Amino acid sequence: MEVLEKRATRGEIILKALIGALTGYIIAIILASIILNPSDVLRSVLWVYTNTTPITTAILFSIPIAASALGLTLAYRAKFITIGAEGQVILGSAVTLWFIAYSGINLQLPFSILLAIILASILGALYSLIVALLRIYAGANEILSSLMLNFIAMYTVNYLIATSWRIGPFTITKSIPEEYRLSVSFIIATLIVLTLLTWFILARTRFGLSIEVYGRAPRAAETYGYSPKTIIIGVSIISGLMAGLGGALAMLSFQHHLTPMSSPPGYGYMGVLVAWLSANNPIIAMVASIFFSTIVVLGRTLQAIGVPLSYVLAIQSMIVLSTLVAVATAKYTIRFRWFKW
Amino acid sequence: MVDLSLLLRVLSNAIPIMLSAYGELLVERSGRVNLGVDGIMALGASMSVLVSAITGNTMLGLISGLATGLAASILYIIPVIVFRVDQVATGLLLVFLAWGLADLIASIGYRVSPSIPIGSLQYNILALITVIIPLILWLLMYKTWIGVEIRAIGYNEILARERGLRVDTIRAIMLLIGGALAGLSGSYMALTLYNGKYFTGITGGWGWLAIGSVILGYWHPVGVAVAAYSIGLILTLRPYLEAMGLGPLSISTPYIMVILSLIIAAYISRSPRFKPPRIL
Repeated sequence: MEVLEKRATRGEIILKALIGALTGYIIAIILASIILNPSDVLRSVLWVYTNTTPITTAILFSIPIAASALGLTLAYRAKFITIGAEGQVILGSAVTLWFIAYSGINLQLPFSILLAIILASILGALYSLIVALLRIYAGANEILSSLMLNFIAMYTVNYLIATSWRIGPFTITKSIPEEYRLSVSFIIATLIVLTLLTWFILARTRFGLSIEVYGRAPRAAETYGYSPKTIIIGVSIISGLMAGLGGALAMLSFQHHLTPMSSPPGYGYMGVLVAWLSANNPIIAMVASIFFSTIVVLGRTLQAIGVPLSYVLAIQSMIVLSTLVAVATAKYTIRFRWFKW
Repeated sequence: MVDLSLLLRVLSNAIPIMLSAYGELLVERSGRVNLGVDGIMALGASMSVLVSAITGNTMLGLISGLATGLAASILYIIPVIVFRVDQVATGLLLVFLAWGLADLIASIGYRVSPSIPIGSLQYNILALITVIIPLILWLLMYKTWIGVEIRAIGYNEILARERGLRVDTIRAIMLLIGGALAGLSGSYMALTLYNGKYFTGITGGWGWLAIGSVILGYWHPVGVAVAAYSIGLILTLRPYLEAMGLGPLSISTPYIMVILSLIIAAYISRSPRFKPPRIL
């Protein structure tokens, strides 16, 4: 087998990526319809994309995905492949719930929400900073260490839910009171602001330039005086801030309470998938995360007819996988030589 | 003082981690890292439960778990080996895909057989295999030319390619073996550890622990066996730690141990004599 690189125009790559994404989506839907009644599945797909209610819900769901994806676009541009957004989202939503429902600190309304969000962001950033410090000072690979931290965050929050936060006979926490909940318009505004902010950092600041240079040529970046430590710590703090913020907004806009997680809820992982799908472009990432959250809504309707909720993440990874393969076919020519002596 | 039942329990916890870790060891020695182990384990678990529920034969279930692992690793080989897609991305995508598919397959299981009791598999045979496999792997890796080729590909891919080794073929074979072993370990987990039941999140991140134990064992067959055994020991001691009042820390101990092993491995690899394969 020979793999030859070839030059592909931007249009060709975009076209192939779109075809790939669509193919992945269709394959995933077909796999689900093999097991269930195909007409039920199709009806749910149509319902999600033709009504306003699911689209509104999708915009709500997209905030944790988009926030973590936008932070990760910066990190991935610096070739800092952290997967820790999941744990940061979980911690962000947990600390928000704690601050509003359990801490007993009563402030005036906008300030308490603001303080909760700031607290969640800081916690996310600190959790993300652990990964960066482990990478810089101990040489630990950031992929595995961030994954392990996700599990630690999940089990810690599960423990809190099962013990001190639990109310009544069921393992469920208190809910966020009605007046603290955020509206769709606020979420849309946050989405736009975050996207523009990420784009601004990437395209208009010295730090964004240093990220780009360090990602493409680490040695050259060092030679020109960009400090790798500063870059890695910077991107990990920003991605952690954003993921924690996403978790806080998720809790305030649609989650409202926590239940024990047997497997990760997946908003952070979806952010990782979106960052890969969008080739680390913030604007595409925002659009892609709304698309992905329509799949979350679809998953919830499919759940009613017997598809497990974790299939959402499977549909999404099928989409990303086939997109990556489709883009690769635009970039490489592959020649098979079956008989090689 | 030696409590044999505790030893057996540790071994039964360690076996799934060991099996996946051996497969991952071969993969990483040949210069790739398959992060999809955890997903393949879940897929193997749910497939084996389904097959043994339908046929009523646990051995058949075990074999189907192995076959599922083979099939799932093709999903990794096509993007990574053929299309040169980023291996980290593909591995993680495979995990999520396999988790979802495993739950989907389990949902058929509930419709086909609401309550077929499944006799759990005896773990004697597999326990024996788990002791023998590291020896075989050690012989393969350090005493045969195939082992030299595998290690050469892991150390320096370009040089191996120029020397005429079939890099892609060998890697694909290693990935297939790794996938098969991961599927087997998943089905072992479902059929013996959880008495023939499948549930969402059955692997509990043990696939990641397997990858961690490859690093902790410093890419050596015997070292990996010891590392997997010690992680199995910690998993067994988890309830005792929890009883000591350590709370969430006790559940997270194996994960913290993997992070520590990453640090230790990074420290050792600074010395020129002990270079790990280039995996990432």
